[in-house]
Amino acid sequence: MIFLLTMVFIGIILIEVPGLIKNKYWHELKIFSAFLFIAFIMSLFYIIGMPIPNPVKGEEYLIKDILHLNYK
Amino acid sequence: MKIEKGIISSSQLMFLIIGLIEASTLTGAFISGITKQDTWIVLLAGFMICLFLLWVYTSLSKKFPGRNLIEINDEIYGHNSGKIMSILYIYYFWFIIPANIRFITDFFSTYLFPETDISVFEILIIIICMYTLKKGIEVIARAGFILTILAIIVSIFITLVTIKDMQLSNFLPFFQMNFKEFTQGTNLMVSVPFGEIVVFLMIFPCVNEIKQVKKFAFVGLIIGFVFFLAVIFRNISILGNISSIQVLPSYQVAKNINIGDIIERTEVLVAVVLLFNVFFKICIFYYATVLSIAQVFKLRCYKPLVIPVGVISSILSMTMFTSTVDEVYAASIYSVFVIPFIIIFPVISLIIASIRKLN
Repeated sequence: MIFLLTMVFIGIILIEVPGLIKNKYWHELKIFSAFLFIAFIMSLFYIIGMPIPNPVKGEEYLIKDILHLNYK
Repeated sequence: MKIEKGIISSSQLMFLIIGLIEASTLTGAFISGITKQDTWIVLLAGFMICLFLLWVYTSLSKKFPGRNLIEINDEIYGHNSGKIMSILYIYYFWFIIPANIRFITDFFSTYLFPETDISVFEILIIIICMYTLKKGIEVIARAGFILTILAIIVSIFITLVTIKDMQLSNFLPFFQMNFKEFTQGTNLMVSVPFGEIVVFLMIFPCVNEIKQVKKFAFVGLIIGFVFFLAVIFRNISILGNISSIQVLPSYQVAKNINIGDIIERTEVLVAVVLLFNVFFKICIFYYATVLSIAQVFKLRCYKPLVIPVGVISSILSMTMFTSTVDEVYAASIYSVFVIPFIIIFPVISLIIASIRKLN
């Protein structure tokens, strides 16, 4: 499964990066690599089974435990 | 420098707004679980609030013609605080995408394809949304016209065929809710269907005739509201007491249709219309997210960012909610969390902009 994941991400790089390098969009390439790295780490965590930080739990903690503004 | 080079016409903007409200008609059906047969009262209250909010958004967009939300924040609050506000709005737009993807995949894997894993639907929907985004906003606006008309036609057909089952006595214990349920219902109604019009602050600059934005936006909102009211009216009058325990009342209504034993099982039409509408909504919020990120980081083009944002959204949608019940509970927390983004920040921006007379 991890092999399939790396194949998919190499496929994504092969689709996007030649267009960026040909037009010389260096700033865009940096930001694209940063986001793609985060996406790769998240997919790896999902496949291995490690827990991913969950934004819903953060919101629940903020509204329920700190502000006490929830309806139930 | 303008990142977005596409131009849409004002009637396409109207159909974009109608499509967004129609999508939320079907995904926001859990509101009737709280306010059982008085959902139309909550809808009217939410609509009144949303009229005021749309006036705030169009006035804000009129004061800064040709600039979208991120640039407006930069101008009003200065560079540093404007960046913080923009990042908060990016978080708000980005949160809605996995929630909607999860809704549609849950629906399909529960009702139509029970043996299939949910990751199949998620990957399919996100790939199609990525392809649509790569082509730009004009494609979305042109597609929205057809999808909206299709949803209206299907809805009118289902309403006409099920008139014989309507019983107006199903509305009857009027005003059975106490004040807390009323505020919860209105809050949900403002945050899920109507409050998401904030996203159009990112799309207003693409319209080619700036003077007609206000008129067409209000017409779109009113048509969407009439459509929503008709759907809720039909659902409560046909289903009665069981309308509050359904995941999707329109689906159950369509199961009753039986015209001479020939036209049966029309709930598949409702499922297809739901798929188109939710796809449309995901595309609009996806576009707003990617455009905002590209503008905060000062890129020249937003197209490279489409694929990473899509992959992160699909992974988040698989892990954010553990089940459908979790979604409904998270919706009640979400409705409180989203009040600053819809009401407080734009009103404060409009007040500061009119005091400082920025133009």
